[in-house]
Amino acid sequence: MQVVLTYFTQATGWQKPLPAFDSPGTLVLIFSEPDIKPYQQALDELQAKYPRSVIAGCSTLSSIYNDTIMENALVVGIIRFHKTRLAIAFAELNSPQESKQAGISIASSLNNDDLKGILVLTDGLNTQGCDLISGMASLINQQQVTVVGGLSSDHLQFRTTWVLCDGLPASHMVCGIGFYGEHFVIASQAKDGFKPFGPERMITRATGRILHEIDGRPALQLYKEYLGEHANDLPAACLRFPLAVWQHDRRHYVVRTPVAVDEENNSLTFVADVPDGYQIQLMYGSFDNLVEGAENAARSLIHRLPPSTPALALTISCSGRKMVMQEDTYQELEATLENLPQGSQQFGFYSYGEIAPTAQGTGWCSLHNETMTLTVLYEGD
Amino acid sequence: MKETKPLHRRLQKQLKRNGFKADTLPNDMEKWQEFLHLIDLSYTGTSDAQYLLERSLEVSSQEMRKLYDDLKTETEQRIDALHRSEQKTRFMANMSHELRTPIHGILGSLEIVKGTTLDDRQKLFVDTAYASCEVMLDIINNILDFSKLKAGGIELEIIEFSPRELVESISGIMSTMAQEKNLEVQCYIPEEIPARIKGDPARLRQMLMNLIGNAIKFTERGEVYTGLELKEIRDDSAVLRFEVRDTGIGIPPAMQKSVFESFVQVDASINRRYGGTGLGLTIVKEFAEMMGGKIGLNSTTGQGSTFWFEIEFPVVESSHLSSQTKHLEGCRVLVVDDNETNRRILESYLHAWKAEAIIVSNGHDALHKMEESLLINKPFDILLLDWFMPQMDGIALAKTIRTDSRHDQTPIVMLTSYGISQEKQKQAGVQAAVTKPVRSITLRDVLTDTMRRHGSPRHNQTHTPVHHTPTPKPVKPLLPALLLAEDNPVNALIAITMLEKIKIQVDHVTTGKLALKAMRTRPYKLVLMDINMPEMDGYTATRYIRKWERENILKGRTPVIAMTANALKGDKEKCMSVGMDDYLPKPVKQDELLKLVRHWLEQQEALPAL
Repeated sequence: MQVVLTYFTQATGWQKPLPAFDSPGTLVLIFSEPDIKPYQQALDELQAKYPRSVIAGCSTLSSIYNDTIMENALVVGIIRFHKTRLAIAFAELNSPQESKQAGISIASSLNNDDLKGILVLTDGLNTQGCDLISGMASLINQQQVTVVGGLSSDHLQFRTTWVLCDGLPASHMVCGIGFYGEHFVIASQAKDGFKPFGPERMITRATGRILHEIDGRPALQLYKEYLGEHANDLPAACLRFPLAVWQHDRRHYVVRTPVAVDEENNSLTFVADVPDGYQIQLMYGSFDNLVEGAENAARSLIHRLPPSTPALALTISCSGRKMVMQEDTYQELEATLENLPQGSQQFGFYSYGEIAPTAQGTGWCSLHNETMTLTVLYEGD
Repeated sequence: MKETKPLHRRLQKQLKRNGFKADTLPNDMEKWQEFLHLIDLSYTGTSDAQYLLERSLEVSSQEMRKLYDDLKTETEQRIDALHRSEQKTRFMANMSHELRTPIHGILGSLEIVKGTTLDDRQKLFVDTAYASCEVMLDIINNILDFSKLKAGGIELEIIEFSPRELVESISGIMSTMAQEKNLEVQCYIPEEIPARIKGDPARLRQMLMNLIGNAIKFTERGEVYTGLELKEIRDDSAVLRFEVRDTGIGIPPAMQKSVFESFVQVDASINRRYGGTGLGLTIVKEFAEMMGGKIGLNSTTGQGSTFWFEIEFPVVESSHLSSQTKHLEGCRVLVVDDNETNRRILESYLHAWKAEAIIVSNGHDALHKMEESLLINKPFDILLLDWFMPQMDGIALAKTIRTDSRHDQTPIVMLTSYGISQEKQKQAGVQAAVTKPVRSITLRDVLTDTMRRHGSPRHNQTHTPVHHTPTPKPVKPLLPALLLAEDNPVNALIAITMLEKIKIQVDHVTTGKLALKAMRTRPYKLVLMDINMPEMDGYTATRYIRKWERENILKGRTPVIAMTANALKGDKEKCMSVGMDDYLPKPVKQDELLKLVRHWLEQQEALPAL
């Protein structure tokens, strides 16, 4: 497997020349500013340079290039696999309600006996992440196939997000890349770093994505009681105070960040379902904790990698984390990179929702909020 | 710098990130600033964490305070409820004590009265009063037993008793209840039942009372049968089966299991309609099981229910046919009864006593059989007639028989649901009466005794025949009398008995129509009129009386006194408005009744004879 990570800026052009890696086993992954126009030339160049390769990508708030947060740039990873077969599939998403169907469609296109992993990139404003995952899960065997990915983002204007489809940005679209073959290895780890506080509680009333009651008490009221003076900064403060949500086992929780508060109904609104009867616990994030979370993701992952071999990490982190850590966000990238083997590289993007297994061992894929997901791809012997 | 304790991991990291080493100080201002910024972030994070921890503790302590308050309130409420329940139990205990004291007083007094010289009818009343008190005691005991059963505080007694007497006496008492609904109450105990066994007669009595009470309660027409059967003899013990069968509303199959549970009745409407505590069957079941027995029920909705229990008892004295029955051997007995179960019971008894029973179901067939008996020259030794029969009742049949002098020597025994006055007996030419449900020993004794005293000479070997004229006395000219219109036989009997203190003939009718009919056959000094009667009620009957008096169909004006249980305001006014003269609320008390009747009779005396 050969890897070249590079980026393009209008001012400086390509940071590294594009390698002659074109082959059916080559994956060209592109993470771009939401406005693609300044990079059309670069994009055309890629299309021309890698006609036989699988080209995919999406829009993002900021791209990740090793330990640097890239804005005003096109970050590109060219990965040439020697013993891995690739396939790409697309599904349209006219509305979020079609997410499950889109998931089924992608999975049925890609599913095969030797399928090992799927990377999903999808429209960040028109996807019900949980439904998309459950659609895929209905067809594939998650014990054998690892699903990772994320929802594309924009500059927090929530206006347009897209994935690349035949070299063009397309909204209302899901893209799935399948990795096949016995030599391909995919290892993924999700860690958020938020610290729980207060007791574990139960959702006693919720409708879809709206949480009304926790332990029989109005959700917003209880939330505010915990936040104290921070409640004055709602809804922006929600990013720092997400909920851990789980059904049976606390270890398999997912992070859910409220995206809106409804004062009138005393409820909290989320981007994914918060089902009745699920357990929850409030969490808070500080800079240190979040960096530590990223660090832990890398530390946990390293045990599953061949020792002392430089790795390629596809890093998908949450835009929300970037908002919490602000200009110090790069520290989480440093933290992951410095915990991976010497000489490792990473690239990726800040998303509107991360897709990765909840905990090592069970492998069940979930939609996460405000989580650092690290995925290492490599080819074994 | 001297190496001291290693620096905090976090700090080490920040140093490393900024390219510092723990033992060298940076000289670059920018690096210092960046380092301080990171340290500041850590502090902010730590103080935030501390703040949130405080919030979390605050929220939790508020919740715990609320939980504590709620628990405290709930606990206080529970303690309150416990106190109340305790008070209730204590109240119940006190109440039952308070109730039992006067009941024992009544029972004791009646006991003394029983020991004095009483005529047959007085004895009947005292016995009834005594038995009624016992029923009341049983109900109170039921309630107490239930609470004791729940607490497991009941011990069974083991004493000697006669199962026959037990069942017959209960059945007898309960028949009073059944009379109001015109139900036949039957009881059959075969001869082979052991004479004396060991057990807890008080509990058995309670169990049977509960079952028979239910049977009567849930039966609108037909009969209630109580039976005792010998199921099995094992060495020195016997398994007896007690059975109570009715022709009532029955129990739907789905409910048959749960009827033995506490407070369960077939449905809520049953409770509204029939009342009751719902404890009876539970107690029966618990007792049956305590006695090592089993209980069961067969029922068809709309056709009736049979409840039974089987218990093994040690036998003290086996059954023996009393020498008394020898007197009945070979006797020809004519039985007239319209009720099939009764006929079967009587037949079984007579058969057991080796008497020859000829059984018919109506007066017409009876007369035919009697004629036939003379033709074949095998006259009957004794006649056993049921009083209440359709078409020709026992009295009418007896009177008819007495018109034929060929049957003068044949004594008649009347079966009645309540007493029959000596007067009436004499009038109808009846020699003896047996109250239903028939107790075998009583029946046997009455039959033997009646034949000895009144029967044909072959049964009077030991006694000089005392000739008793069974024919009615010549009818005296009609004297002014008092008319009692009352459909309830018990009420009527009580009123008639109370009125015996006043020397006046009392004619009794059971409907308004019959009252009018009586008024036209003879003059009455006073009418005691029940309000609720079948066919024609008291109001209507009184209106007719007044109308006929105005039209001179009836002579003079007869005072009418209303007797009613409708103790509602306005009832008296209504009585007066239809032309009644006075009003007597039920239950009637003897002194009030007599005072009122005397008053109106005196008023009549004062008037010039018309």
